[in-house]
Amino acid sequence: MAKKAADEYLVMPYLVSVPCNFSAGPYMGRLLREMKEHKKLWGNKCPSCGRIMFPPRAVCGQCHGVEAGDWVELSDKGTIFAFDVCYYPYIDPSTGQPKAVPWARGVIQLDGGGALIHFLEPPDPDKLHPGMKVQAVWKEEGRTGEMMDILYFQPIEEDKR
Amino acid sequence: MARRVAIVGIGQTHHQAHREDVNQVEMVNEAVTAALEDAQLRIKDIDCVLHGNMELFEGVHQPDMWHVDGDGAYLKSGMRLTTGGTTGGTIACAAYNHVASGLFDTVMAVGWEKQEEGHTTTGIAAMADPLWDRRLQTGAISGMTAATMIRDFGERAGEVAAMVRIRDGENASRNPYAHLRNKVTREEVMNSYMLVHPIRLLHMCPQSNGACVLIVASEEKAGRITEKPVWVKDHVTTHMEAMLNETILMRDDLAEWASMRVCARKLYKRNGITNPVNEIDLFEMYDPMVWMEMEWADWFLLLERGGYLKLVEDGVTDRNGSFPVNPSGGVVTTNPIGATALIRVAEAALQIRGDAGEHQVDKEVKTAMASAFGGTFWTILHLLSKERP
Amino acid sequence: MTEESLQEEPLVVHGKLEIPFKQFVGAVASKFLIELRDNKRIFGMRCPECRLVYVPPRSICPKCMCRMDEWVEVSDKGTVLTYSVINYKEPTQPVEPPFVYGIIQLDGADTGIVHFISGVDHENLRVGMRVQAVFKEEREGNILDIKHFKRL
Repeated sequence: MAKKAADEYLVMPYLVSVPCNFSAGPYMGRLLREMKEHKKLWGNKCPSCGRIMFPPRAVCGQCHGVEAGDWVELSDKGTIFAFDVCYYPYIDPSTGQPKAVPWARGVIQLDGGGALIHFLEPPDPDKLHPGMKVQAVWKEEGRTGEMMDILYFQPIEEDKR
Repeated sequence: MARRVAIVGIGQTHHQAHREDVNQVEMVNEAVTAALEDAQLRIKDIDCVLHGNMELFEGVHQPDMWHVDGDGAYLKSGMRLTTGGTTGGTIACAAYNHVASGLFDTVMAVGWEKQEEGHTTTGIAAMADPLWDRRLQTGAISGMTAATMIRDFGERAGEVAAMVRIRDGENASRNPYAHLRNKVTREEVMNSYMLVHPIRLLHMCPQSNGACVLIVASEEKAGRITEKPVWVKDHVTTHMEAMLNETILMRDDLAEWASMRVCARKLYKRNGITNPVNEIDLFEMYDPMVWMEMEWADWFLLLERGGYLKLVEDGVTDRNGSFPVNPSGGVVTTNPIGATALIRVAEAALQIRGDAGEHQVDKEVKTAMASAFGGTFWTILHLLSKERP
Repeated sequence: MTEESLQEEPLVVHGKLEIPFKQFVGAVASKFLIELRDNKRIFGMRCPECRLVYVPPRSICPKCMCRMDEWVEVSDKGTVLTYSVINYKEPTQPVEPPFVYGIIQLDGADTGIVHFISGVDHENLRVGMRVQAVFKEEREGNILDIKHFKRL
């Protein structure tokens, strides 16, 4: 038996496939329920620093644990703060499949307060720009109480650069 | 009162795209062997082994158990730490803490990653919370920083981005451990494949396989182990909010609260530094893409926005400049993520020791800073010195 | 939106983590698995310092922290060190329950190897019983090229 180790290097394919059930908690749960049943977005306010937290949560982290205060209904229209257009088809960890490209996402500042990251259409850097006004496009049927109940945000008007 | 702690041993693998000839344990063992050799120690001299990486890159849960085979932790004390991209930095902090506290005298810190066994962007995307952000990730490759740099500085930003990459390539060509060692041209950078607008392939770090090991010791032990101890003067960790939409908005509206800025201010205040570019000799910075270096360096170095662009343009950050940045070639040429932040500390230490070989900077290095970045934009800074603090 | 609304039934988001990985076993483990696949032979590795024979083989002795390169062929027969009968079902299991895991010390090895024991009534399983590897006809280069161990 030769002392030399192999020239052929073996590789073990290995699929991690784990179903998970995530408890949304009462705050996130409330948001997701309002999205599912009423197509509405809700955030909540920190009584100390005054910021609107979206998604809503129990405490304000920036104030190191101040309990959140009032709920605030938010608009589903907003302004693009910044965006990404992705051309790189990486594997989505929620599906195990490559994401279809190109696709775009943006940080959207909602009118009146709050901000979120969501998909943008069209995924074209020449057709999107910071400052552009956008509007959520909701799933009309089959909403389940998750962020995909909004399909994407799209420009409200033709915006010239 | 904490004991003084010094780095007495440094080891790395030759970081590469493909290491099909070894499994994870064997790869880690290469760096462990190198560090023990560097310190002229045997494994029995090590009291405690700290181990870290990001699990979702290889899909092995708690790999420290398997890695006992190769990292020398058999029957020893130890701990596993995993904090995203800052993992290597956190392990270095923990190693210092374990010794400074008086609990252990000689501690080995092991950081590693075998990126080719998984999917890097997939693993990073899975760090986002599953309730909201996870479907919306581009991993580490976000163009938003670059977009704001271009908004504020126009074409100049793109030119400086290319300069940074050229500088890193030049440095990496002199570093035998670096992954991407080829020098690059401006045209190659400008024309490379578009990943996420406007980030191109050559703006971004590679996916590397590699390990890095540091051995730290108490002052008393260090004096017996080495003639060239590198003192760990200080380290600071600063966390950020988890929700990415808020993290990104920090930059414009509330830029005072970027973790890099807060971390740096704390470090400087504790160490009496007011002008870091003049008072610190060298910076090994964790920037996963060149655009992030361009923005964050202003925060780290207390410069006005755009001040760092000028430093790059003037050659100040070159290997033979007055404030070299990433003389190792940086993260943009080498990124085995669990090791990367540890490599920053290791490379800064090599420079202080004068042992960086062909990529040693020209000036004498008495004080060096190393940063770590990870997760949702949190930061660790290390301050190392040649002279005993 | 009131305090009452926070008392509502909790909402659970059904998610999944699904990521394909590929792990490189390394040159040493490759050789071990190739010998299973191509020749139905089982090899271990002996440490030059403590002289233990590890099966499956590895390149580093964890006790001595030294590199090993002395290959030792071991028998396909061995002794059961311990066993466990699995009766419950989990999605990650390789076979349907009930099934038996055993730790088997092959003749010539100093370590046990985990594998299935098959074809033995559970009441008749014994620590110390002698078993032999049964190889699959179609082999791929992984530990399941041995289908299970049968009683000798």
